[in-house]
Amino acid sequence: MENRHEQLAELFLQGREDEAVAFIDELLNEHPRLYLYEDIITPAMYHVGVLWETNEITVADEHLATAICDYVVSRLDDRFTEKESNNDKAGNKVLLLGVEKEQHYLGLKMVAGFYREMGWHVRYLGPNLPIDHAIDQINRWRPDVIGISAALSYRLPAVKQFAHRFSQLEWKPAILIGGRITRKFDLLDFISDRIYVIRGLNDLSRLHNQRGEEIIDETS
Amino acid sequence: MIYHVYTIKGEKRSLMRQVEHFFPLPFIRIDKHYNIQCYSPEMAELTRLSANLLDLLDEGSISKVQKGIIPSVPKTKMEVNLNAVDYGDAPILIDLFANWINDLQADIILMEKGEGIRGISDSLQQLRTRLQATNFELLEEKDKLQKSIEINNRLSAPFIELTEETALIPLFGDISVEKLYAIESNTLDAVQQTGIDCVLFDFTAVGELNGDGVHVLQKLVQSIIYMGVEVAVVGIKPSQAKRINELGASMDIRHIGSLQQAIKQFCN
Repeated sequence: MENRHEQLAELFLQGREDEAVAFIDELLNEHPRLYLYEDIITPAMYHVGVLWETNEITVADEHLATAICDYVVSRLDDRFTEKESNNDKAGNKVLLLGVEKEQHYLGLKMVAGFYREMGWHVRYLGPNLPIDHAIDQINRWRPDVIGISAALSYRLPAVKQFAHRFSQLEWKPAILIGGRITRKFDLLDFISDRIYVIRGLNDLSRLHNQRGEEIIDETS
Repeated sequence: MIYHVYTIKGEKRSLMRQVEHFFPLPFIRIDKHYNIQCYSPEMAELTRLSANLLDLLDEGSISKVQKGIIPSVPKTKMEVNLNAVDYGDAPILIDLFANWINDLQADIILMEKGEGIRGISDSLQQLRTRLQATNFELLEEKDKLQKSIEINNRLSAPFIELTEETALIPLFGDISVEKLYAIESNTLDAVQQTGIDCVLFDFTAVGELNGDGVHVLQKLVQSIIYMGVEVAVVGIKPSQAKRINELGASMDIRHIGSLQQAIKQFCN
């Protein structure tokens, strides 16, 4: 069946959270979680954005869809954490945050789910984090990987500032830059030996499959 | 009247002037390239003005306006986001009403969305932030708790040398997998380093016996035997004896009723 993401977007917009959960649960029988994040949920929310842009829905509708989507993603995450909490592989740690003033956070939340599924310790700090708060948390917890997310082009200076500060940490964590900003800009200037630009969860998954060793090696 | 002349790349692009319009509302008149021809004082208060409507818009709204406000659609109502006065702040949500008076000019009224929606979206965000903080505090507490359980586990089986030949390991609390894993390697190391001949596991302070925990304990006992050391279990209570039987975990080792008897036997 095609346009499954549009069907899901419709459930989000109508505020039918139980049906949205059932819809996802059913797909989960046949597909990996990564597929749901990347090919169903993310496109569903992009579709909501398009509907606003074509003047078919209002910002209030968008807020409702976001809240329902948040619920669905949290539920999805929860089901797996219970099952896999014993699977604490090597104790790798990832810390995720959105730059200051950034309000988009669903992507980050899905990245948190992705890492939990791999058995990592995850700290998801949410969006709109002042840099000093972030540094404070990071110094205390010493993650192996730090994920930064941003959506809009005027967050570029903040992303640059965050990435720069994090790259000076003495234990050299890997720094991932993600979010919709990476689909609009190539961000080649940002890339260095410890900074990676991630265009979506498939990209992240590939990075871990192909270069997973390199990502955590330096810190251990 | 106030006139603004904008010069872009040496070319005079737009002549924008403020008019005292009859509506007390943010108002602009644009041409078909979205250049602002005139605006009301209320418009100047709403946002930082620029010569072109598209420059006022948040990046997510630009193509929406380009697709929706066109002469072939005489009247349009839509939501758009205007850039905040401070760059990087949350954009201002606007209800925009456009009316083409001819193919070349459109009148546009921009009304800031009522406080209502802003209030709702702010409180949603606060709720989210609070949930986030709570979640985070819970995680930190969980970490702390896990660490103290681990320490507790490791301290639940001290290795006490009674004589040169005999050591006593009093076990404390419930026999669980986590606890046994936590003490396993320390115990084996101690057995090897001290070179003792006999280990007494004292069950006097033991509570519940967890099936998997007992299984790991059996393996630990077996490992100690492989190291050529005798093992005896001391002070098993009747309920625990029954439980061990139920679990089918009987160990082929010496059992002694009380610590007193054990010390008499092994320490003389």
